[in-house]
Amino acid sequence: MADEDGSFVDFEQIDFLRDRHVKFFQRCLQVLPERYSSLETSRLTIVFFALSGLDVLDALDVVNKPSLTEWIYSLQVLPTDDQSNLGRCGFRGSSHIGVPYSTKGPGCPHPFDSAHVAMTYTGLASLIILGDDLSRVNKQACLAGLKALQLEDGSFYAVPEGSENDMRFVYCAACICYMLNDWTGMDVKKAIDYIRRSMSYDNGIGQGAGLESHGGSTFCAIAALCLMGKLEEVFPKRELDRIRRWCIMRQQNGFHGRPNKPVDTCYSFWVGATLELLDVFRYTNFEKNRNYILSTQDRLVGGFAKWPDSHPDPLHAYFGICGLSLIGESNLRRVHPALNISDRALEHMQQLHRTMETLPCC
Amino acid sequence: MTCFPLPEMTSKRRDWGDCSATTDLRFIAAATGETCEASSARSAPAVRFSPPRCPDWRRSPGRGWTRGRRKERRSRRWTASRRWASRSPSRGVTCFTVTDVFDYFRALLKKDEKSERALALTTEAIELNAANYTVWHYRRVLLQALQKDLREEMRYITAIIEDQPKNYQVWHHRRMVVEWLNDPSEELDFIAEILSQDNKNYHAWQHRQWVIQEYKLWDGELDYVEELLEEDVRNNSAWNQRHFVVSHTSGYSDPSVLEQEVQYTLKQIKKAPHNESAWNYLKGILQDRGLSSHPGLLEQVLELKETHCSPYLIAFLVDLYEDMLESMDGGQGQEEPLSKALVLCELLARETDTIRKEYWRYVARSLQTRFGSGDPSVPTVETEPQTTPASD
Repeated sequence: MADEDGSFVDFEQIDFLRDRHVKFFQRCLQVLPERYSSLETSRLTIVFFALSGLDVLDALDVVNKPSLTEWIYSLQVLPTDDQSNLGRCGFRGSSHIGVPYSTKGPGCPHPFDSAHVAMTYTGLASLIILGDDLSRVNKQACLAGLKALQLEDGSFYAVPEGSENDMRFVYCAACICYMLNDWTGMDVKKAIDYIRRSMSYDNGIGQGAGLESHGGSTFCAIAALCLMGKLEEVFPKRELDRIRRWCIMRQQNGFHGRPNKPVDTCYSFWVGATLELLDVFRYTNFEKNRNYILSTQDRLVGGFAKWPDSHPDPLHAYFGICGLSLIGESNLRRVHPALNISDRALEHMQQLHRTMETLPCC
Repeated sequence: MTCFPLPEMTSKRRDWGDCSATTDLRFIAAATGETCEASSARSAPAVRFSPPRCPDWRRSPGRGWTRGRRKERRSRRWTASRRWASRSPSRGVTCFTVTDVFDYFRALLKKDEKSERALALTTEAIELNAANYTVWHYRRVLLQALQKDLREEMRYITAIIEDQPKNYQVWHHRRMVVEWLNDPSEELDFIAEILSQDNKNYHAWQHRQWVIQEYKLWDGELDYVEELLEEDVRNNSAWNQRHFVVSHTSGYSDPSVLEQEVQYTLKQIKKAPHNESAWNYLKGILQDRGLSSHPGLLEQVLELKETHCSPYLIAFLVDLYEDMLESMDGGQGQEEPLSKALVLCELLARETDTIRKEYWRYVARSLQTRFGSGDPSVPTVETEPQTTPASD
């Protein structure tokens, strides 16, 4: 079929293979090949990618919701009888520590069992996507666990035992507070200060002060500020315009994460969502972006990869789909650019918040 | 006893030989007396991993073997000697699975056992999954409790990072060991070696900045940055490091330093005009003092435009004119810089940076609104919202 210029356009190669991606995510929820075993401690994030991906594809009906809900609750680190582990509460990434299976408290004492901030974030998000009412989440324990992770400089560890600290976990923390509708879990002022200090000379935002600006950390920072409702308070218009410029320069066809680096499908979301939050995504080139994302689609196995002719993985599959959702691809649900869940899931969350607020006591 | 698998010894690492029986995995299993199931989940655990297909597992009498598979890496140091099994047909075959190693790990973890065999087990577990942060944490607990030789540990972590330079846990572990030793003397050379394989490795640069700032190792870093920029003037990480070093040493307030940096950057731009990193650096070091305030800069850039043009140069000019307009603060003479800026925005939209044409037109409209005369004969038109090309 020829298009207007008379050049041959192979529509076969640029169509979105929805059903393949549904099957891809279904398989992710079943068994992954052994080469992914390094994801053992973060299996819950894979569940999130699959569930949220299926949600955006409007295919959650293929999922055994009650079963998955139970599994996620089994990953909650609950307070022990003597409440001595409150600073370690939240959600685990998987059962890798070997704590006996349980979906209710009290928590089982274990010298090394503690939550991970990214798992608490994706655990709560997954429950919301599944339509759960979060009634079995020990909210106060989660918030105590979160508080224990924040450092003096405003950033967060991933785990109370200590780990690296950077913008990723600031974002996770903001999502947790937002979903639990409770900002007592963090010192917002310190977090904001960390974000401000992470802005680079080139107006992008790095993982921390002095570090190279990066599409991922820029998303984490801007999205966190939006969730806090503080974007315009922290960055005056002149600085927002500078950030907009840094972000919009990331488009090459798809998007890359840093100047002079190759493009990668997932940045269509990280940078695209940031541009959407900054209200200038509409000025990007949708067609080139779409063509790039679809060039990384795996037509046989489903999913998306970072580059064309590469192996797909759950992360790039999810963010490829979210990237397409941002440009309004048909038959995809809209994704909330800061919280990174579908508008449908967000509405459910907002309903939960309204219900919680009207309760006589909580 | 070889507790720390040095790269050249990997193929012998499974040779427990003179190891005491306490490191034998079978002994560990018997001693703990517990079968530690990962999780007898009543609901199917989501996202399971299929067992590794590893046909060539071997065992020596009195020794334990494990077999794991790692994903292929493009590391130059990947060789067949890194595989675990040694091929010895005369020996019997018993297999320890990945699950076995982690079952024993879980058992020891629960007891919080502090022993050599526990430490040896963390080595096994790390080999199988270096991203398991709990294993690394337990290893650190053991290193301190058993007062192990941290120099040995540095050699170990050096090898692991060489093999897996994009793993968060290994870099964090190295940082902890350096802190305990309070000795950063190997760091800059080591990081340079890692950067020689991938000169934009974010973990490496992050570790480098931490070491330099923590131990005040600023001397020579600017030279290192210049070396990297000689190799690849488009290395954005190196430009960032340049800013890191200068801002923490002389700073940019000294006019002669600032001028030096401006001239250095313009020189690099002449060598490679189409280089966003250099232009970002130039703008970055000048923007807070006002691009239009730097004497002679406009003229230098206009000159460059004739022979070394790029979308970044044009955008820089737009920003310079905008700064000029801002400092005029509504006074006289705004028409000329405004008109120049608008012409350049249209040039970017139509010719030099078409992928961002909607953005440059938005920039033009903003400038017009902010600095224009408000002439009603110049309409400001919102572009139509984009629609995605048909996909079904």
